[in-house]
Amino acid sequence: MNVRIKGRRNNAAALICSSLVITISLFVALSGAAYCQEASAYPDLAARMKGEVATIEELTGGKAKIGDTIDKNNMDLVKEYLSPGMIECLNQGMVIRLGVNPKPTELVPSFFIAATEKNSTGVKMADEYGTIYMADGSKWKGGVPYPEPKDGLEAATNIKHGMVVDDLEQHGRLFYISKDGSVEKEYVNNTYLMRLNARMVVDPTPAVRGYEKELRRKIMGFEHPIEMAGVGQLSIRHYDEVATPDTGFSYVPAFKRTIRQSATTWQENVGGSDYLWCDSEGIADPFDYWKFKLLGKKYMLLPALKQEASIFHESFDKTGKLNEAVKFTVGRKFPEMNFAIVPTWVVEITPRIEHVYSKKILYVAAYPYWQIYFQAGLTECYDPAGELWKCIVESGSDIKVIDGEPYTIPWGPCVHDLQSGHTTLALLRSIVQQGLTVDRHCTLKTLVQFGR
Amino acid sequence: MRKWKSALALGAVVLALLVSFTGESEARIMLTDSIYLEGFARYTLGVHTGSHNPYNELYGQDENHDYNLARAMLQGELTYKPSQNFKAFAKLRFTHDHTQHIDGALLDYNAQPLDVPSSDWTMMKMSNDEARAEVWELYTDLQLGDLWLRLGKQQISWGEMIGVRITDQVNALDTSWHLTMEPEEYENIRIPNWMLRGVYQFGAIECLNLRDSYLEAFVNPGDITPNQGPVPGNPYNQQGPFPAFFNIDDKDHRGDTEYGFRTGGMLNEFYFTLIYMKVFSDSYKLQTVGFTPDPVNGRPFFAAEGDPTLYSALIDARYKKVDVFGFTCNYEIPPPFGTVATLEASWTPDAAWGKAGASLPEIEEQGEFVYSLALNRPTTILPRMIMGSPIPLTAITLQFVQYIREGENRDILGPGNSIMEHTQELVVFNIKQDLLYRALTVGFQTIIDLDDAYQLKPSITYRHSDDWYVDLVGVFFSGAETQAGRLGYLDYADEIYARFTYQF
Repeated sequence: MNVRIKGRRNNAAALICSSLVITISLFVALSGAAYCQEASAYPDLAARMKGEVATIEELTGGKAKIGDTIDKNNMDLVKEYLSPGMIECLNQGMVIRLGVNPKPTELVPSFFIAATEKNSTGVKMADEYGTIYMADGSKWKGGVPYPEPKDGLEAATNIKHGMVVDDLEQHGRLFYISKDGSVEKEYVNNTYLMRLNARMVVDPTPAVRGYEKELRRKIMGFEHPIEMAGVGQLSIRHYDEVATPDTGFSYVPAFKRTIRQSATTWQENVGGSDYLWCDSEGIADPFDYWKFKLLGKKYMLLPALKQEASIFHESFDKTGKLNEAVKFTVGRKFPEMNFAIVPTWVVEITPRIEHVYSKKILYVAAYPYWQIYFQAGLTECYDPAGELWKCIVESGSDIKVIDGEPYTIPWGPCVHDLQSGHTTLALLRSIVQQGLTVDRHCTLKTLVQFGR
Repeated sequence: MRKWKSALALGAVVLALLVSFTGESEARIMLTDSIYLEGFARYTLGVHTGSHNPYNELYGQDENHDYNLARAMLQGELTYKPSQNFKAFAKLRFTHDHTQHIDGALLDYNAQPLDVPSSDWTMMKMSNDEARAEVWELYTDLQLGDLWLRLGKQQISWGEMIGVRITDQVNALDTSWHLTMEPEEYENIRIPNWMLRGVYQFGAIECLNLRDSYLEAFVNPGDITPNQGPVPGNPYNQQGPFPAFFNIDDKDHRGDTEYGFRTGGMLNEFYFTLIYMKVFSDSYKLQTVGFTPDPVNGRPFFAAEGDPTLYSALIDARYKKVDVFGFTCNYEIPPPFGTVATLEASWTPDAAWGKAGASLPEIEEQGEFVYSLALNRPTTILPRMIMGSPIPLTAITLQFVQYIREGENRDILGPGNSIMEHTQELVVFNIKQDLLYRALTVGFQTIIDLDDAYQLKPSITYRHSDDWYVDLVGVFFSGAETQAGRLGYLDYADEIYARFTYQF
């Protein structure tokens, strides 16, 4: 009797428990939000390396499907995976398509994966500014230093030291786009970027002799319009950027000579555009300008690492013509791109110095969802009053196979000023691993060659 | 005459046609895959706000004039770049100056005086008094390993200072049409010469702790051109007539050779250059070499010795070959100062001057040391946002220049026979602010001569779309120091000018 009663009670308890489990399961299944908030749902490095990452369909319980178009009218479906800046972009007319990313082995070269596995175990952070060394005191040897960052500094340091390529040449166009989407101006520029340390493939490796104290050099010169043609800038980032602050030079055609330039120009805009020199890669200015805080890790919708079509027409370098297969909304303001779910580290950076931004939020893709650079797929910039000011969307990517290795090469950043409605679309067609040399491509003489 | 008119018309028509066929989507005109054309059409109108030009008064201009400059220019820049290692570049100019036509107070004058005999093809220009067609620059760039060569008609600008030419002494200036008042400073007026220029990049020299080291050299095999100033009658004319008994022979050095070297690099965080050049002075100095009987304009120079004959003085206008030793160095005082300090200096041990107190022109050699220290800092002055537009940093430059001459004070003569002090100091202040996504740029430059003379140069540039921009610039001179060659003496050139530019 007691047994039966007990059994009955047990049956009742089991029924209640079962009902609760079913209810919770149904709730979880129907709510992607709850899924993504659970730490266990966020894939660890091993899972990510296998490509075991949830899709938007799984996260939304099938409400949003791959291939769906998202705009301001239906963005609630995926709102949990959108940043505030993206939500405002959608409100202002952006349209995105839901997509998926290729497998990691199709995104990142094998030598880079091997270097990350080998080197990340021995990395030591030397200061609060992302200066890292190997355990034996030698300089960083390449790869992503912190595949599982524990804090914001480590996540941001991955951007600083995790560039996949040894050199980069870019043929770029800056499109200045008004609030109504019309192209106001178009500037043409060329860029060379070289790593001086942690070089893995292109000779000389692992560092350029005589330049071991430098981390990277970047040189950019305008070609058009003629009023700007020849204006160029060379910036040098030192390995220990606190001990030796950045060095900068510029070439001014009106003077026909190179002049030294203050490194504080990181907060200057590029040719009057919405794009500041410090906006590149989310954080291009010195790390000692910033404090870092990891807000969390979560699934986010970031620009997919492979788009349906490249934005660059084959004649882009010469004509600036875009591939008509890529559609835009609001005139030329928002390219319609695929966005895919990416495990993301959300990092808040606040300035230590007087800065044009009161803070930035970097949405750093988790390795190995790793472009050759511009790994902060989204960056949000806040004005001095603390209001959301800009959303920088590192538009799409093309995957190119060079010597049998895949390289995920971004198109360039779209800088949306959410307050004024103005946009600068920086499209940079990149050529990588060319074998650039300091003396030919990244020195003051190069500025004169770029110049008029 | 017919020849230049045909060239001018043909060039202008070809450029205009090419521009008109340009599609909106193309930022520049691609003629082939590797040849492209850019350029601009510009009209400049300068309204005179100064006093009556005292030198033109000596030539017979009775009343003050209203316009300093009315000039149209079509410039095309043609580039052939088949590879990263080779480039050919040509800058073509077509100009027409019609200042005399819109201002009846002006005398007739040659507005295009920079010219050579038609037998000398190397200057590549054809002109009459109003119009000129020319190949302003024409060169090829060649990269051979670590050696970079530029061969052709080109400008070479060494040094780092604004508004003063300390080691920028390779090319002469054509100040004949707008003095040094153009916003681009010297770009449009530095006269290109046929030269070979080479830069060999040594890169890092570890034993010297040097980076980015290089050796640069140029040689001008004979395309020597002196400064060209405004001629009598030009609103900017700076010189009255010579005495009638001066029989002047211009001893130019066309056909002679100039050369120079520069080496530099980064030593820790100091970037430096060392310069040597052997060049001809761009301005002449007069040297009396003899006398010749001249019953019409002559003077009785030897009357006291019993010779009542009238003579003219035989005078050479000489451009002395000088040695110039130069040095530049810059360093950034790290943030939070974020200020770039630049030092530039030159020493010319055998500079040529006029001899003060001489009854007839004589050249006096005295060394001159010039140095300048500049501080440059981008600074936050305005709010970071105005009218929904982010405001970039304000560029501020403060520069001090001192000239130190050998010898006694006031024993030599400079431009226009002005007495030269033992030392002379200038302060240059420059500020520039971009606004409205660089649609608007506001600037102000002042050059202050500490002997009480100054130049003020406020400017506004408005850019509309990719194609159009307008510069509105004021240039005002004043001060008590009114000797020739000093800023106060140019108050008759004061003006406000507008430049309307369509670029393609």
